[in-house]
Amino acid sequence: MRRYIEFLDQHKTKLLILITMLVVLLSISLKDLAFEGSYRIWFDPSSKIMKDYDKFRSTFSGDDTFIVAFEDKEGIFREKPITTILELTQKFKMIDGVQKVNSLTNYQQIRSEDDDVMVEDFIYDSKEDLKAKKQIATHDKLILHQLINDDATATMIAVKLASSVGADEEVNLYVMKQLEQIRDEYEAKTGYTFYISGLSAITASLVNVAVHDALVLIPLAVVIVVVLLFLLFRDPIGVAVPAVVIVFTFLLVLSMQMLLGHKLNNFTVNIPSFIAAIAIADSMHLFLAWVYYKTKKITNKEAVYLALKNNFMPIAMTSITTAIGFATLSISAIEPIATLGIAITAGALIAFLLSISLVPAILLILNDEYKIKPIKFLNLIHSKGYGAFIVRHDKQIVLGFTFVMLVIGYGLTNLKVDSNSIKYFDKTTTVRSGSEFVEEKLSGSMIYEIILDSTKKEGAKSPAFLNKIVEFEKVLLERYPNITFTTSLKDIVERMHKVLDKNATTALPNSKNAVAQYLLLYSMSLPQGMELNDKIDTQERYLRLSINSNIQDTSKDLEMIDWIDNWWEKNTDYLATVQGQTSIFAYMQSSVMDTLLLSISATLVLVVFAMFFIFKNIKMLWIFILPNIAPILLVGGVMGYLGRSVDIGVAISASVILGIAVDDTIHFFSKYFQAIKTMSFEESIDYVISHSGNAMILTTLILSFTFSVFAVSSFVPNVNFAIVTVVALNIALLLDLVLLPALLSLFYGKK
Amino acid sequence: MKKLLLLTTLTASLFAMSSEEVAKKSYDVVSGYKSSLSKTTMILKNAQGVENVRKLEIKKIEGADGDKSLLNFLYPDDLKDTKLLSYEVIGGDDKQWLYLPSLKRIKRISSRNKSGSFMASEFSYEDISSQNYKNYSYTGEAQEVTKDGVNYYKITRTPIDANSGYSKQVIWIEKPTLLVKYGEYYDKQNRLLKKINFTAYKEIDGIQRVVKIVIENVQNKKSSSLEWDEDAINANISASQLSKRALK
Repeated sequence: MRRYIEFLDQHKTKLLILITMLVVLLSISLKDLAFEGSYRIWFDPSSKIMKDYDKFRSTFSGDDTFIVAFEDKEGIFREKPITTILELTQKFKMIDGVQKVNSLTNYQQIRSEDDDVMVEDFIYDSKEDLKAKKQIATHDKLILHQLINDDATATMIAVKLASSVGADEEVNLYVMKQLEQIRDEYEAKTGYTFYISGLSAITASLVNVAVHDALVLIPLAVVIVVVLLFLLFRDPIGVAVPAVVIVFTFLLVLSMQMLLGHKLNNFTVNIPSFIAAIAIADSMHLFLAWVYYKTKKITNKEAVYLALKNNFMPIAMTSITTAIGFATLSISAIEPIATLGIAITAGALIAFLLSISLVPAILLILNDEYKIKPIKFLNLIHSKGYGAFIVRHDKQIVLGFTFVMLVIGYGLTNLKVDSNSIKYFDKTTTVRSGSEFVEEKLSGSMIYEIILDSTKKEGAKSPAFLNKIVEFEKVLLERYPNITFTTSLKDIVERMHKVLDKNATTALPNSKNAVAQYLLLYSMSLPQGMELNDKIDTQERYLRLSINSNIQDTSKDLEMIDWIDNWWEKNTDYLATVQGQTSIFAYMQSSVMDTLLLSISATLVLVVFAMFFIFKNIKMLWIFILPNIAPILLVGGVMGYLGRSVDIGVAISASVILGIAVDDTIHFFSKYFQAIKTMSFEESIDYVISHSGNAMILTTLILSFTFSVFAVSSFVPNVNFAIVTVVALNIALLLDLVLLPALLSLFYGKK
Repeated sequence: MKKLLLLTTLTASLFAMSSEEVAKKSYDVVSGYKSSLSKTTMILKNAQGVENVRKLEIKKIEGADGDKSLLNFLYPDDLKDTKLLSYEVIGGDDKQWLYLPSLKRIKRISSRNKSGSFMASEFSYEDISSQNYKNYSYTGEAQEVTKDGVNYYKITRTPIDANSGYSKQVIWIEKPTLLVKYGEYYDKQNRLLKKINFTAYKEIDGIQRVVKIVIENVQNKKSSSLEWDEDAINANISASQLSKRALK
């Protein structure tokens, strides 16, 4: 170790320049920093879910849809609102990438007079007899609860993207931007408030929110770290040392990501904050140890040597345990999770290397006379008597904590693992408020696409098949009150039959020929762009049944998807699969959650092994583990009581909490075992507090402020992540500083 | 030298033809068949290459103020005996009646805008009905262009009927034969919608007859082809055979 310090001392300037240049060079790649928010990133392109979905897209054109809705309390069937709908329908059609626009005015109404059949836009201009139209619309089940509400005061326009470009996020973002521009223009012009929602709006918003968080919140978090460091140390070196490690580590990790061709997404955008957490802990322990030794009458080089010598092992061990913890994520089949796992694993190791090279190198530049002011806040360097206090009260402390843990832990029984893609967004965001408006006034904003397979070519026109759809819809609506609307080609056949065959006794015609002929007549009557090819496939074997549902939790989604599959299998000779982005989000949610929960469990097991190898003491293993699991369980318990569900943000925070809590525990025990060899129990505890207490408390303090920044994100998982992490980190600190010594005192101290 | 240059430019402008002239000449090449009886096969192909087939019998009579046609659906079986009678209205909305055998009734298709898909193909009815040059308006001179070593007149035409599915069509007419070979059709939003390719013609009694048309929808990546399996002209079809009464 001494030779290493000598080596560093000789080459410190070269080393500093070399590392800085390396970081700067690599950071050039950050100019290509890009974001993605598509559901696709969560799936292997060869996965069944993606293949089925792509097949659905190329067969029926996709389900990339924006919804624009507004309300006029005096009624939609008046000149101003109708003019607005007519103009917007036209404007939306003109946006590049838009394939089809469905609105109240261009709804294709089927009429018949004598033997004349007309399939035409419901409303051509605002001078028509709108009272009569209202009468028709409020009694048309294909319009009501979809295009208008019961009292005809709200309406929506669906903007569908072309399938070939719909997968492309840029198109999504472009159309969203255009829609927002038109919205702003028309809000000024009409005084209405327009609401934007729909699947495509979710995708676009995911990207926008990730970009916002990355460009605004992450730099803000860095600024907060720097300001806090300055307030604590009031010394440039106190700011420089930890800040250099943090900034260099995350620049290196981020450029590695870019060089490997990864884009940032809503999940990996958290990498910088994780890196900050890891890097700050490493550098703070080292730096504060140096501050401690500087107060002794020794040379600067000696102080650096002692600080490194006493902290090398704990820093190495904490880095390795953190690396191991996140490495479990890297084996995930879900790419963003694997990417995050690799990045944090690399980050932990880079932070370690920088801490043991750059930090001593910078400190060695200082001369012996350099006076570092002791930190103003919470100076524990000379603390005495804490060990004695713990010993006196060990029983009460342990009992108190046990009681609290039992009470709070009971809340775990109410804990739910769930979420929903709309709930990812803050209530103030365009897409969330839009979805809520649409849901309240018109129809459910989540759309599921059910692909019904008649099992043979031209089979979709068979009346038996169509009648099964009628039966299915009835059962579905009874069972799932969240579903507000269903639509398929069957509705058009029904309507044609009703309009054309005055003697009809059944809702659907009873011959396949009649169905085929109705569809021919209908499609010959349609204008370009309103074709049926998004409702039936080329071979006329498959039909698309779209259902609108109110926002529901993922577990409900999955249950419903299963039920639908089963119903068709059990009750019919046909098959059904649920497609579309809503179901993909549901699969994504559940697989991401499963992976994260699995990873946390794996990490816990690995940490147990690591703790055993580090301290080689199997009897005390439970004490090593308890302060690390307890914070997660406590936070889980509180969430259970509050009825909040565990989402992705909460699940990731568990990894961070585990990482930091384990660090604290390792630092605590490495100092404790060092001290107990020569000192009494009370003195040993005081030694731990004076040598590591500051670093533990300050690390937690700084991280708490840093993570708090994300509580203002519009992305709810980030907010949950921030809150849960901050609360749990502080609990972990409390447990490490109070419960841990008390347990040691009670079980091992009085020997 | 100067004179020669002047002369060439003069002759060039003398020989340059307006778009409308080219369109008329091109139409003349395929006109004069009086009446025809054809059998065709239509093949639909989606983006993945999955196919489906339709078969039609087409009877047509040429008319100075628009053609009359009767389409008899032969396949798929569920459309058997369904018939579509159309009377072309130059520059306007064609009159169409459909006979539905399942209802045993004739229904007039009275929609204003009938520019949608024909039999779920990428063709609309206007793509395969009469290509009378009077259905379009033209501006300027025909451009002379070369494509894959062949000389074409390239002209842009705008459908006169406001309810056409297109804002404009750009077509390539092969120079020596005056046959329409390619077209690019733009939707109402002025975006390229379809590419049409008249891949084969054959001459019957001095009149050029199209044998195969392939159309590709560039927006949804689906395509369709229409091929004439049998074709006879001067087929002695009487007006009464193409009347509403003949539908049932």
